Amino acid sequence: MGRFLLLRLLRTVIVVWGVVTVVFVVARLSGDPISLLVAPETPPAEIQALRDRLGLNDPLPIQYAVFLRQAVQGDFGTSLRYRQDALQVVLDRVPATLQIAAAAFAFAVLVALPVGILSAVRPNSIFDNVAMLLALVGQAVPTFFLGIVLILLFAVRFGWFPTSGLGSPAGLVLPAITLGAFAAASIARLTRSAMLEVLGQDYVRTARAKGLGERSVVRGHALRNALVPVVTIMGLQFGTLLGGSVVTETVFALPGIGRLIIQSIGNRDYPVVQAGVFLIAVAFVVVNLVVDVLYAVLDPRIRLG
Amino acid sequence: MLPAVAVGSALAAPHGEEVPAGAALARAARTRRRFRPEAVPAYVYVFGVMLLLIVLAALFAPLVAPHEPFDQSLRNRLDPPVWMDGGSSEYLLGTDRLGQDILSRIIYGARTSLLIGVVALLIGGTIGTTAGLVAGYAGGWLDEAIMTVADIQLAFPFVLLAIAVIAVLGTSLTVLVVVVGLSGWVTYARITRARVLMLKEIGFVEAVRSVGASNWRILLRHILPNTLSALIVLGSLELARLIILEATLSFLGLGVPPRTTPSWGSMIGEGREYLGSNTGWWISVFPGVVLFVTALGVSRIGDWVRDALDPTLRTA
Repeated sequence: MGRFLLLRLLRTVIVVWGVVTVVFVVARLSGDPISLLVAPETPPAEIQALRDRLGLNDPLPIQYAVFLRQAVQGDFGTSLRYRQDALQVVLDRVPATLQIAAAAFAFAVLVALPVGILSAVRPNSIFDNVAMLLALVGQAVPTFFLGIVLILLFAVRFGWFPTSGLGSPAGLVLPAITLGAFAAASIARLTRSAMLEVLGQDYVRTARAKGLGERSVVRGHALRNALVPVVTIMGLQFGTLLGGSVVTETVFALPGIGRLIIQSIGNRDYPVVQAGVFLIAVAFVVVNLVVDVLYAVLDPRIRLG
Repeated sequence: MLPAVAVGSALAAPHGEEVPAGAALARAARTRRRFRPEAVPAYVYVFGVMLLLIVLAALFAPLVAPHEPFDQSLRNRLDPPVWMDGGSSEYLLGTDRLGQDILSRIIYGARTSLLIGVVALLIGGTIGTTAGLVAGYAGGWLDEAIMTVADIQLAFPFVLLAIAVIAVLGTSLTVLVVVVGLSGWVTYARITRARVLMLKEIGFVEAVRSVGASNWRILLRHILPNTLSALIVLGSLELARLIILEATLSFLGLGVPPRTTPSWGSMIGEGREYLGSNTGWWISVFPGVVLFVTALGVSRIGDWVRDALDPTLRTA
């Protein structure tokens, strides 16, 4: 287990290093990054001073080393718009994004697991066919369009939920469904196929043969074994939800990291964009690490294989 | 030197002679694979016809579209679709806040979506396939390096990378196509690499090498043709994802400049500000429906192609 953890941790470090490097390279793609860091009307003397202070006159390898050190310390410079530490600006938006992602995740799991199980228990029933058709649609519909349709139907037409903002818990419902739809569709399809496979196994037949009720066969024998791949996908989907929050927050005008990044692009507030991209990427990588470790704890074949 | 295209038939008839049992089996397999219209499910026809219409509309946009996509009419701003009160047959699907015809913009937007989708597909496919060929064939540190880069890209949401790049380089058609294209190379690289590793174990690569074929010749004439069917299947599934990615970036305001190029994604984005009011819903909904139908159609047909060509790739 120790060796597995160590290797997995090393991989995570490499990936985070890769992310930081990409951010660095991208910032230098435009030629002179100074134009991204100051307002257009800044006087030349001030630009020159900033250039010295930021070390932009140093050779590239040294700039890269400095950038790496600062990124490790969470120092992405000062937000041009908010006049404070860029990472702090991003961190202030974390609660909103976490709320949305958590609500979407809860929606996806609470809907998809029962639907997937019921579909597998009664394959090719009307329920199964309708559920799988919906899952197919859920996987193909663009997130932002789904959000708009939900707003039009349930906020504008029926007035059940607010169109935007996080003023009340009801404000979370439509964003959660929008963001969670793809994950829900994937989890439902995977649960169904995992359950179908397990239900065909010998030990399930044995359980039935010794006279167990259908309920305890499904719950005790089939579900537990079917859940292993499902748990992995659920973990991976949580990471994807963090990335998808960019779109959902824009559609519903929610005060999260994703919308902040998009607004900051419009404001040419590049330090905030960097800090935001970095934070989401690291969160994504860490979630995947946790999932892998949990998976290894649950299934000895992974860590010993 | 003939390219060793069909591994199966080469194994079935090693000397090029009739081997009764093997040849009969191979012929039976070929017969079964032959195209039979009645075996194609109905949904493939339905989506096929819809996609054909969209492609034709895109190709012949100037002939089909009732208006120019940028013709503004101040007197006809926010006109509803024809079947609603205040709608007119002049603007079948209504107009946006500048009085531009929604239907015409959808038709011209199809050009943007399809063009970017297809070009990005070619970019991603070419880079990914080359990377996969090199990684699998060369092995060693080159393989490690290419696959580490692939892992890094997969390790965080691609939309973020796209956002970071576009934030710096600004929005343009070229930037968008390249960014969307780069989103997909990893999958091609992995599949190609896996095929190459498998093919290297089969005798014919060793055979052509022993008669003095160069590495590039082996790769391009013997290995590449044997990976093509998997790549075509992958491409047909990727196209839907690329079209949605382009629309997503355009929706976020990071796509092609909407003042010069109509795009479904940016149309949906423009309509967003009207969602709270009771008017203007058609600005977002019609391009959204067309985008959804296109993406669903492409991916369903992709699924069908995959199952028909290579059932071993079938997933949950």
